[in-house]
Amino acid sequence: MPGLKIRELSFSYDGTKILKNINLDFKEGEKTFILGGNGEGKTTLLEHLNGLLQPNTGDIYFGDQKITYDDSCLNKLRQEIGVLFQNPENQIVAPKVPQDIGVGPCNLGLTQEQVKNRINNSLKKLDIKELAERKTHNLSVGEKKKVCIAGLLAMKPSTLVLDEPLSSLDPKSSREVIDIIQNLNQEEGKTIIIATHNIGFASKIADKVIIMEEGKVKESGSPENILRKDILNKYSLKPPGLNMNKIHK
Amino acid sequence: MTTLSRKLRSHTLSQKNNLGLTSNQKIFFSIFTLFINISLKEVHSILLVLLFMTSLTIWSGIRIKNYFKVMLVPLFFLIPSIAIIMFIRGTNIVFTINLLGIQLHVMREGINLGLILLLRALAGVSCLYFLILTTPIEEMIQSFRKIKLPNVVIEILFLSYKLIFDLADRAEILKRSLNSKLGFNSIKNSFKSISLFTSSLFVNSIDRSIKINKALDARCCNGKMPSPNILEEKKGINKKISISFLVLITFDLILIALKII
Repeated sequence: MPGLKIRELSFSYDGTKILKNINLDFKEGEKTFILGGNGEGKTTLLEHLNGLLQPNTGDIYFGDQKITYDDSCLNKLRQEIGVLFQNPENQIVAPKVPQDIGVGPCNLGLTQEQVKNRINNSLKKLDIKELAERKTHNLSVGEKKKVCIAGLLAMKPSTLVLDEPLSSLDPKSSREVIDIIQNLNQEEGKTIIIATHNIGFASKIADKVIIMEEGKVKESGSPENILRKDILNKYSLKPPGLNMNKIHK
Repeated sequence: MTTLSRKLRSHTLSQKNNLGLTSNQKIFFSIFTLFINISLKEVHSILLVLLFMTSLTIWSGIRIKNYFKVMLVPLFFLIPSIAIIMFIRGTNIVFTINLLGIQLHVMREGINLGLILLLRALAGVSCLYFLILTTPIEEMIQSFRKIKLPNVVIEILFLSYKLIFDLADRAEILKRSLNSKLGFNSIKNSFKSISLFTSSLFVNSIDRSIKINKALDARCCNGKMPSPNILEEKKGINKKISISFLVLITFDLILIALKII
């Protein structure tokens, strides 16, 4: 499972520079957290990793292979790197849970039997078999997030890119999603890249933390070095009432 | 809160099949009846289609209240058009309206034509509502694939289905939000609110289509929607289905006979 490299990546939209000279390395099997406030470019960066956006300048490498944005390269990239959107409503495209999970495998041209197997495996892996008969519009936000993650897993990716996976979730659903992420990383060795502004979440499971501000990578390192009071205060990331003594693992 | 769009979505996904018809039979019957309805000229025949299709839809499980709410949608467009026909068609004046010194004559022929058009349009809509509200979308798509409808039409249908319900949900949210801000407490505010509502809905529809496109791209979509009926079991045809279908076809034959007589 190769890692991801970003070199000198810049991206502008409507004349506004959103990402500026980003250089990053995501090692395989590592859990990397990208922290930053709203509008700092986290989501835009994640969308580049799946090839949904093409940089104006700079390159992205998956292993040793440079992403070229032709159809075959994008298909390979999107099989290997699954992206979870912040709002699950934007990710679900089919009216029923199994159909939605099966959209990706169907697009890969698998046989009906193989698609069914992948759907069942994903449902089993996330322990959501009870959702198999449900319609997607009737699910709660937590259930929708899990269905979206199941959809990613059905593609058998080596890397999961998750945009605010805990947003709008209650504590129970948050715990469940954290457990799922941990299991996928520890048991299957999947590389995890998470964009969030939830410091507590990052402190629990991160192997590496990156702080972004105004489209630039400002800090990068281990959680022990980055999740410090002075650094979090500098980037206005410390939530009110957060006890810094309890933050590290 | 269960919204109307949510209830209707449940119906379009419903596996409930009170009539015991297959989706192929429903498509055939509703389209065939729609074509017969277009050719009907007598008010009583058109009324018969409207009542029969309405009863069938309600019998299939949709609540009467919800059915009449969705029937209000075509009326919103039909009533202004028909009102104009009443003024411009015919020579026999029934009564005259004085509007700011301008004499507007309502004609007998206009009223007759308007009434027939109104009923025919509603009967046509009732045929389509019968199909839409009683047939799960995936079954409908499966049937369309069987009759070799071009893939692009099926994809547009599937995406429109998703977008329509997303927009209906968004419309309900916007309406509630405007209500909470007293957006409809006076005629002036209502006009302002409706303009905000429409522009916001338009922007939202574009935004949703971009996001759906991204979601499909992220899952290796090559421009062709995967079959959403991948897990559907093929259903056998039983005796009840055949009897129900025969009853419906008999209705169509009666309509044809009425037209000939």
